[in-house]
Amino acid sequence: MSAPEKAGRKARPRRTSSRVLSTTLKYLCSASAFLISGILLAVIGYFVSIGGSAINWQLFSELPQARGMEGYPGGMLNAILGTCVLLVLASVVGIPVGILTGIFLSEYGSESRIAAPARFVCDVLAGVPSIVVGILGYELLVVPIGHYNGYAGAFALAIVMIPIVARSTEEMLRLVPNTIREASIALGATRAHTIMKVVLPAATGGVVTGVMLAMARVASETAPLLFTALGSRLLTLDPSQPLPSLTVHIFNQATGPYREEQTQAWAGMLILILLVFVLNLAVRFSLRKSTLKLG
Amino acid sequence: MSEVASARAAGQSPVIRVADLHKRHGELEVLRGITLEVQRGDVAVIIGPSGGGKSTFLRCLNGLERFDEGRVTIHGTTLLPQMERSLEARALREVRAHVGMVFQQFHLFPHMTVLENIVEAPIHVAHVPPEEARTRARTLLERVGLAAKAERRPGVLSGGEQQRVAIARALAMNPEVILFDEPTSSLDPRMTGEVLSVMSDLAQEGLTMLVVTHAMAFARKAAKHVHVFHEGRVVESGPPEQVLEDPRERVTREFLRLAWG
Ligand SMILES: Nc1ncnc2c1ncn2[C@@H]1O[C@H](COP(=O)(O)OP(=O)(O)OP(=O)(O)O)[C@@H](O)[C@H]1O
Ligand SMILES: [Mg+2]
Repeated sequence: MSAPEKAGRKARPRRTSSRVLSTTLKYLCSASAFLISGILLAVIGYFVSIGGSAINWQLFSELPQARGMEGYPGGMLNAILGTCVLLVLASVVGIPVGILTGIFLSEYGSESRIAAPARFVCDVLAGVPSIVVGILGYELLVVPIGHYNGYAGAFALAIVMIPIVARSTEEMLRLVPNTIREASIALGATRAHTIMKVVLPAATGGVVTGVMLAMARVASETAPLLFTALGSRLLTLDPSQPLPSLTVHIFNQATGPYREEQTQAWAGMLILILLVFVLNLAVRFSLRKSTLKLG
Repeated sequence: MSEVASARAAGQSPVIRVADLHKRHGELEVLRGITLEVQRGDVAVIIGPSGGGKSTFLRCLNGLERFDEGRVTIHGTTLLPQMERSLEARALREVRAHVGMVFQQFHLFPHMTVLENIVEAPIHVAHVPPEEARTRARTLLERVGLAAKAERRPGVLSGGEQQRVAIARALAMNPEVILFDEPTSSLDPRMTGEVLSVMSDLAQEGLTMLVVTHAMAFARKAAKHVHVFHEGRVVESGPPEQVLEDPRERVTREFLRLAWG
């Protein structure tokens, strides 16, 4: 047998096996993608099948009613509004602080000695169970004020938010090639201008996605609110008082003894998912629009 | 009389004057005493084998990189290795305002349109009124043959087009001198031609340029001086007809043999 023939014989099986490997990998990847979409659909389907019947206009337009009252079990307007208030307050603090921290870690981190500890603290904070954050909010903003209040809840949510936003912002800014920064510096721009006008905008998509994830995450947090905002059956937008929220409302209904309320809890979960979904779409849409405007 | 002295006698002044520049990266001495001048209106070309310190040298000229010894004077502003912080910041601002830079990989801002890339620095650094900046940007785009692409994103342009936008972006700041670091090395021959023809036009109009390039035909035609970098030193300098056709140094001969292919 001549040498080339031998080489050919030897090479062929390896080529086949690598082809098998790459095909397998491809199918495994698509299977996983289908699996995750399937799980999401199954969860939503399950919620719809149980809570779907309880979804009605009343849910969005009325306050909860006590058992035995007319219109029982009523709606969850107060909880929906309360969640919105908490989300806005938490975002007003959490997003800027998170983004600025991310900028610090990515852009000034290499020359600052507190960057490594700060990054470590962020990671630890991101891993702290949210109920612990709730206790922190209780100690800092409930005990001194003397009663449960919305600010304490928003504070706890902001604490949950900051490390998520900071670390995702850092990662996204790191993806912006250094050469782009140099091009801006070489044009005479200051460091600050380069960060705000070149680096951050170049990473907008990723940064916003991180912010989104953080907002969705805190919108669905329950534990930090139990010791802070507490919840309320009243319609209120005043954060200095106990503030209702969807998650706590759902928690109370689902753990309560009454069938009507348990069913409504499922509907509440659907609304929560819907809220996260709308949030997602809104951000994506506004992002698309602002990109178009630039383009 | 030396060449430099005669130039001065003729009323010329160097836009770039570098004396005994040293630069280390840890143990590695990347630049080992570079002395070099570029006169107003001249085109100087730097050639030399890879790793010789050409990019590092250009980066030291506009403060993208610090150096360890020597001095750099650009348009009357001097950079030194050890400077007091606020002085250094002022000097860097001065220098960068007078020096444009064009990179091998273009480095356009990906999230801005072509026009926005060009007006960004004039508006925010030089504080030119936005309307004026835009008008001027369009003129510059016309000059590099890209008037039709003003509203595009850099990502959809060819490499040659991106590089011409990068040149327009540098020109928009009205620099005294533009530094080019291998502006055509990542382009195919046709795109290389487009870019070199723009650069030749600029040379003709009297723009001072310092160009690191392997495009020998351009060097032969446009350069007033050619400097050969090797292992952090200038091993040979002179007019292109001498350095490129009758090189004295073995390094130069070898490099040219490879460069001409
Ligand atoms: N940040 C750095 N850290 C360590 N070494 C570096 C750094 N930057 C450059 N060098 C080294 O300095 C030397 C000169 O690099 P430089 O990029 O200036 O060469 P060059 O002449 O531009 O080469 P080329 O023709 O390949 O672009 C090289 O040996 C390179 O490895
Ligand atoms: Mg180089």
